[in-house]
Amino acid sequence: MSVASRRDDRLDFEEDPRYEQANREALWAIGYWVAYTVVVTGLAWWLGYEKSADELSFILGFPAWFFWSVLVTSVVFAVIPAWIIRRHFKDVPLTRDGRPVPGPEGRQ
Amino acid sequence: MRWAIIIPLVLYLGVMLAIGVWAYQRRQRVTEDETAQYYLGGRSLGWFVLVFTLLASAASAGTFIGGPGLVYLGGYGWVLVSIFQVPTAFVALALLGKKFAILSRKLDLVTITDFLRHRYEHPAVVIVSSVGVVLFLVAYMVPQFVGGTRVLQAVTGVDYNTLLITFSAVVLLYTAFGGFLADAISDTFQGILMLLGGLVVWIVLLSAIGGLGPVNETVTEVNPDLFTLPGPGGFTPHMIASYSLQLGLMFCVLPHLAVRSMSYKDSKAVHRAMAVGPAIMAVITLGFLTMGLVAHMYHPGLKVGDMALPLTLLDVLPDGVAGVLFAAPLAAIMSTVDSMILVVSGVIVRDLFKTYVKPDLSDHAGARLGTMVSAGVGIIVIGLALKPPAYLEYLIIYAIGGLEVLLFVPIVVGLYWRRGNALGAALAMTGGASWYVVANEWVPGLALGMFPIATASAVAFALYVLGSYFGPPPRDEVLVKFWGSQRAIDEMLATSMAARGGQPPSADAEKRQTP
Repeated sequence: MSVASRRDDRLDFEEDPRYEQANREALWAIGYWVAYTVVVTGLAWWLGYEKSADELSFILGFPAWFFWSVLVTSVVFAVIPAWIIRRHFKDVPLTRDGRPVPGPEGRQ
Repeated sequence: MRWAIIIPLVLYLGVMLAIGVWAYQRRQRVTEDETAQYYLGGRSLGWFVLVFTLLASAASAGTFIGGPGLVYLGGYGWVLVSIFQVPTAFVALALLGKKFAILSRKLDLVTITDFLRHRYEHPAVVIVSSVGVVLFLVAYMVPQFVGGTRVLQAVTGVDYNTLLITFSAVVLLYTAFGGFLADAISDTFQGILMLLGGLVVWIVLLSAIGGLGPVNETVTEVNPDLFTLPGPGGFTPHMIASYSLQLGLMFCVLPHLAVRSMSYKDSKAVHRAMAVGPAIMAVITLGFLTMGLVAHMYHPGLKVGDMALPLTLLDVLPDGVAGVLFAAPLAAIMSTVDSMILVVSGVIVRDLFKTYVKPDLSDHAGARLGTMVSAGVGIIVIGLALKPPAYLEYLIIYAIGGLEVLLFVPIVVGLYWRRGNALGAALAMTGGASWYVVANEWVPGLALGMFPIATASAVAFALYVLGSYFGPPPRDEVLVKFWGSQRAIDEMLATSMAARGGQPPSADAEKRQTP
């Protein structure tokens, strides 16, 4: 039985089922990146944009905008990936045919 | 000569050479897939080595020397735009992702240009990308060495040429002979040094000075604008966001980082690396960078920022401690350069030499040639660093951004969109790169107030879509290779073999099919 055939000038073939999951994971990465960019830029702009030095308040020795948009945001976003991975990423064999290599140290 | 600083650095170089020797001996024992072993470590990395080799290769002199210098001169805005590199381990590894890792095994991909060759099957795409990779990476390596040597010269008192030749020779030796494994393991060691350095510099500097209070008072006197936004750096919101594009989203296609997306052993390893990496990179990035302003207390009025923090560390800390801390920037540089040398070597040997000059290059000969080419590349970089030619400045500015504009759309969009074709890729590369150069050199308005990479990438994307709709779609074989199951690929190969009169293609000949 062939896994590939031609119909209406469109090639139909058996697709690797793992790619759908991989595509979703790539989308998570993009979404995360957008969120990180928006939060960092937004917070910095909202708290610090076009404020002269004497208008700035300081937290722990850093300008407030810096403290929140750089320090706090980086810490928060540094732990988010672990959560995304646990909830939405799947452990899949990476071998050519998708079958796991048997054995504990099987390289996949 | 400050021996208390020189000795820790010499010890560090000794460890690097030892790793090189160990990796070389490992190589000797491998008799199959020698090229994959040399350039990819046989796709065997676990999470610990993966996370450090990725991040250490990504963070370089910019994070430890140039960056603090920019902060010293231009204020906290420079830290702000640099933090976009923090999530690299997650974003880069997930965006190229498992599909890329699986494909690299199915198609035996070892370099990023291998990917482009199989996906687009057109010499223009392969040659432009290969030449671009070689030129830009060589250009990027030179200021790494120059910047690092200048700092070391100032802090150790040893003369420039001796320093340059010594530490670049060490990199050359362990990289050329030890290959990817030497690269990755040394990166791990170097990454740990960078992490500790980032942590320790905060602790020792802030305790020596008594917190940020005195620093802030000094900075308020010297130039209070250093605290502000947009600040001397001119960081408007759209400018900030464009940095995020360059350092965050598009980082993944830089060849020395992309290769790591092909090198891990299983998905558990990459999951762990993605989960742990951002925290590590946060410390590495924020460590030295944030301390840039401290230098105003000790070395005010410097015109060139690079030396500000190193000299401050020398003043504030006992020599022995400073010496250990200086290993961090040195490690950052060497870990980036070792990855780049291997990438350039891989592109030259596989995507230029083997594809166009000697297609029947055997696996073993390829690995041996790889060693020699790596050494050759290292020697050229040393030569250029000893006497940098003027035009190098231009290539350097474009190096990271230029590579990203060249490669991001063809690789990432091509990975996920079936319609993407060679015409689209070629137009995207030439159009995007030209726009980028023009915006940088002659018509800044084209950048719309952002880092030129933003508009250039938009142009590249538009051209890619245009070319892909106007030009012929990719061959069926390409679609099956990049979207099909292994069964579909095997069946397709068998069918094309039957069409060729029953001659089974040898592994090399199959690759010869694609230009």
